[in-house]
This record gives sequence, C-alpha cells and structure tokens, in this order.
Amino acid sequence: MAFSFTGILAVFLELARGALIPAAVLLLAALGVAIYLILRRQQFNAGPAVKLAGAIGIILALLAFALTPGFSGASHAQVTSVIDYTALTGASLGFGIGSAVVLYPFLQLIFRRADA
Amino acid sequence: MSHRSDSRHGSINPGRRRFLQATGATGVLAAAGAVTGSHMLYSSNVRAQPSNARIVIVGAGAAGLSLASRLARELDGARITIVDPREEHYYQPGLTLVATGAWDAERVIDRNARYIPRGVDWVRSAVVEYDPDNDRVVTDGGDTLEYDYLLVATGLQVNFDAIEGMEPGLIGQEGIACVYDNPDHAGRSWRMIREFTDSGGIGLFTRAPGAIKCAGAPLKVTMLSEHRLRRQGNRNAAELHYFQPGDSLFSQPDMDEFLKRHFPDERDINVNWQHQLKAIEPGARQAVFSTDNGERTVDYDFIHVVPPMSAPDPVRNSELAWADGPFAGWLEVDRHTMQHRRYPNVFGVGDVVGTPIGKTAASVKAQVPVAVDNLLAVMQEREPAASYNGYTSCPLITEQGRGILVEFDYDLNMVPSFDFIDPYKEQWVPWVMKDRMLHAAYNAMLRGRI
Ligand SMILES: Cc1cc2nc3c(=O)[nH]c(=O)nc-3n(C[C@H](O)[C@H](O)[C@H](O)COP(=O)(O)OP(=O)(O)OC[C@H]3O[C@@H](n4cnc5c(N)ncnc54)[C@H](O)[C@@H]3O)c2cc1C
Repeated sequence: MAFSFTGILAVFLELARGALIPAAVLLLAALGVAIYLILRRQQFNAGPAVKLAGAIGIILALLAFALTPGFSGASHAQVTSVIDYTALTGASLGFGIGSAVVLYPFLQLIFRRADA
Repeated sequence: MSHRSDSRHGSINPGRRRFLQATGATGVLAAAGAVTGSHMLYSSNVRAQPSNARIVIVGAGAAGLSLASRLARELDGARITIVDPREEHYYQPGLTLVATGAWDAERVIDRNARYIPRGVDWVRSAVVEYDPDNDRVVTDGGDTLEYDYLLVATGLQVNFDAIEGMEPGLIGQEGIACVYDNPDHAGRSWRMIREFTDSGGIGLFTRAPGAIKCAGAPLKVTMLSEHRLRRQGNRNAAELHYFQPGDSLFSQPDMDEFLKRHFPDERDINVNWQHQLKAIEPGARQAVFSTDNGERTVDYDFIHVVPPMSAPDPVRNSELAWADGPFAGWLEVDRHTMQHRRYPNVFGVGDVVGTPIGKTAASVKAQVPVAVDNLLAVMQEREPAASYNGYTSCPLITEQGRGILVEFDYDLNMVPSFDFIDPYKEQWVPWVMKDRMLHAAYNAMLRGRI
C-alpha cells in the first residue's frame, strides 16, 4: 500500500495533534528571537552559543537513544536489526539536531546580553 | 422503483437517471477527472463535484467515518446522512494492547462527533431493515430514510451465544477473557490475563471458525500472554494450548509456516488442530471442543474465548446479503469494486463485506478510496474502474516490544508498504508502528486524509 507524501504528513500531524500548538509557539518564539538578532545587525560572537546548543543537542540525542525503546514499552534487547538501529539512530539524531536548532536563538540571546 | 440489477454493473434505473439529469451530467463529468483519486490535504471542497444526491452511510466506524469524510470533500451539495447510534468511537486495533496491559482502555476511546464532517447529518439510530428494492432503510426509531445511494459500513457482530454457556457478562470472571470487541471487554480481559500470568496454570487460547475481524488478534493475545509469563518469571508455572478450528494458523502461507514452527518450538505453545470451542462451563472451568473425533472437554485456569462472527442481523437477514456460498450472510459486493453485485447503487466497505480476506482497518484504508471513486463513477454513468486488490495488514505482535509487519493481498502475496521492513523478521520497528504510528494513521484515515 503506497503512502503519498501528503499522507505521511497527515499521519505525523495526527501524531503530534496534542502538541501542535505548544510546538508552534516554541518555533515561532525561536524564529522571532532569530529575526530580532539578525535585525539588530550587531556583530556577535556565535561560538559559545553554537557550542552550548551543540553540546545540549548531543546530550539529548544520546538520552533519546538510551530511553526511546523504554518509552515505547520495549527494551534495548529488542532493538536488534539494522532497520531497528537505523530508525532509533535517525530518530535520536533528529531529536538532538532539532533541539539544538530551536535552542540556539535563545542561547545566542543570552550570550549577547551577557556580552553587552 | 427498483434498483435491482442482474448484471454486475447493472443498467441505470429511472431514479438515478432523474438524479443525473438534475445534477447536469456534463458538468459533473468535466469535474470528475479532477477530483477522483486525489490525495491532497484538502480543507475546502473547491474542486468538489456538484450533486444533489441523497447518500446514506450506515455505520460510523472506521469505514463509515472515512467514507463520510471523503464524500463530503468530493461532493458539493449532496445530502449525506450517516446512521449510527453510538456516540463513542473505539480504536479497535488497540484492544489487543489493552487486553494485555500495554495500554489503558481510555487510550482507545474517542468520540464519533470529532470525525463527522461538517454538513453531514448524523442520525443517532440503528438501521433495523434494509429495503434495497425501494431504496430505503428503516431505523429502530421507526424512521424511514430514502436514498439514491447507500453505503453499508456496519462492521460485524460477535455471536457470543454461538458458544453454549458463554455471554459477554462472563468476561473478567472465572478466568474468562475475550478481546472482542470493545474497551470494556478488553479491560476486563486484562484483569484475567494479569491474574493468569501472575500465578500460572493452564491457559487455553481459542479461535472461532470462519471469518473474524483481525484474524491475527487471537494469535497476538496468545503470544503477548506467553511473553508476560516470561517477564513475570512464571513461564514454567504455565501450560499454554492454542485451539485452531482448521489446519492452518494464518491465511498467508509464509506466515502460517513461521507460526507453525514458532508456537511449539520457540514459545512452547501446544497447538490443537481441528478444535472448535462449543461450550464452556465457567463454574467448573471447563471448555468443550468439537473435534474430528467427537467432543473433548479440557480443564482450564484461564481461557481466551473468540466467538464466531457474522454480518449484523439486519444485513444478514436482508436482500443485500449473499444467499449462499462461502460468504453466505455477508454483504454481497464485488470483491474488487466494492459495489453490490445486484444493487448497483449500493456499496459496502469494511468488516461487513463478503470477500475472501480483509476484516482489518488496514483493508478499510484500501477499500474506502476504491468505493468512493466507484460511487462517483456510477453517479456519472461511468463504469466503476477502481479496484481493491484485497490488501490487508496485521502487525503481528510476537511480544511486547517486537513484531512482524505482515501485509498481503487476495493472492496471499506479501505486499510490503515499506520495502526496507522485512516482513519475515521479528523487529522493534513494527512494534513502534503498532504502539505509536498506526493510531495516528487510523485517525488520519477517519478524516479522509490517507
Ligand atoms: C481486538 C481487535 C484487534 C484488531 N487489530 C487490528 C490491527 O492490528 N490492524 C487492523 O488493521 N485492524 C485491526 N482490527 C480490525 C479493525 O478494527 C476493523 O477491521 C475495523 O474497525 C472495521 O471497520 P468497520 O467500519 O467495518 O467496522 P467498525 O469499526 O466495527 O464500525 C461499525 C460501526 O457500525 C455501527 N453499526 C453496526 N450496526 C449498525 C446498524 N444496524 N445501524 C447503524 N450503525 C450500525 C457500529 O455502532 C459501529 O460504529 C482489530 C479489531 C479488533 C476487535
């Protein structure tokens, strides 16, 4: 049974239905902060914020890798095949990278203020 | 006026001809190509086909709601009525997880009102009589609903009384469980399964003969119970027996072969062939089976009862049912077009239809677009060209945390949706799909989006 791209999108939207509004608020806030930082056109040192966001992203990815099987009611012993590990790694990486990207504008704001 | 036709795609009757004249067939035909088979995430019906047809959908389960969503989007001006007395909507594929303790019962309970599209009338009654020769149905409230097109999506009925001594009130008592087919039964079954897997004893797992919904469910309940015994450290304290009325465990041959090895060799589950549950004596905790060699009485501490199933009585007793043959009593549709074989203005989808396989929500997902496309075609005096290939699917959960994603068609060939998921291997990913993704996919189906 073929799933179209819009079909898969519809399934993910259903999956996230309860969290859609909080997620949208968070994303909009991150976007707003990013736009604010760009519009200020001040030279800022991105290094520390990027490093911290990256570090938090890596920690969250590792935590996701360790905890996701348990959250699904399974155990790590049941994650056995290549496709199992690919899915777990992909989901954990996606979670880590997504978290880092969303966190970065807020961290940059904090670091910019601290510099100022 | 009769809609009866002896040919499969019988000639258009006067009523429909009048309807087509009223809608202006030319405009309809022009719009048709654009809308049929579309899978967009529509929010409006800007490309909808104009119509003033009266369409009655009986049943607001998986199939009925999905049909209503799609038709409401594809038709502009049609009077669509959905008939179902039930306010609650049950996500039935989750019942095996409720009965084996992985989910709470609340997780499978929803409300039909959330999915009935705007503009669709909801009659909160049950249809008690079908009168296809006069294009009408009668409800238990005494109302008569007339239609130009009828879609039958009533699911099936579980015939507890076909087993002597059995009735739904016994579920949750005296070691009796039955996952079919509502959250209350599944919740009460969990109490019994928990008791059995906590203390051990003799566990009997049955399966009714004939077509049942989600034929994998009795197998899943068996394997999940066996897994819980192991997790509780009680496997050695329990004896598990599976009773199969025929000589195969699963209709798809590769999976049948796998299970025939897996049950005895890897799970120590004793399979009893040609055993049909005939009666139970709850007080004595005994089950009576009819076998090729006469009756056999077996003692139990726990029993999972799977009663025989049929089309609901109003369908079974109507002109719409197959009169004889292997599908006698089920809705007589063409297995590919989903159109009734004698009444061309009647279509059927879901558990109620008399087709070789496919009493699953996964089949509903594949059948609904076919039925809708073909209904639109019939409304435009075209041949129904869309074809259902028998697609059905069963995430065969072998233990909590692992499963096999089995998908096959009428020819019993494996037809995996995702080539990268091996349909012959127990993996974690199918479990995650069952536990997390399929409920979302089901809800998207109810909204007509997949
Ligand atoms: C334990 C269990 C496990 C399952 N597991 C899976 C799985 O893993 N995967 C899968 O794909 N499928 C699974 N299924 C099967 C799936 O749930 C059904 O195939 C699907 O719900 C069928 O949809 P339907 O609309 O035909 O029937 P239903 O969803 O049962 O809906 C029928 C509706 O019709 C209404 N109705 C009945 N009679 C009348 C009447 N006379 N008048 C008006 N309304 C009426 C009922 O109130 C009901 O709302 C499972 C089912 C069960 C019970």
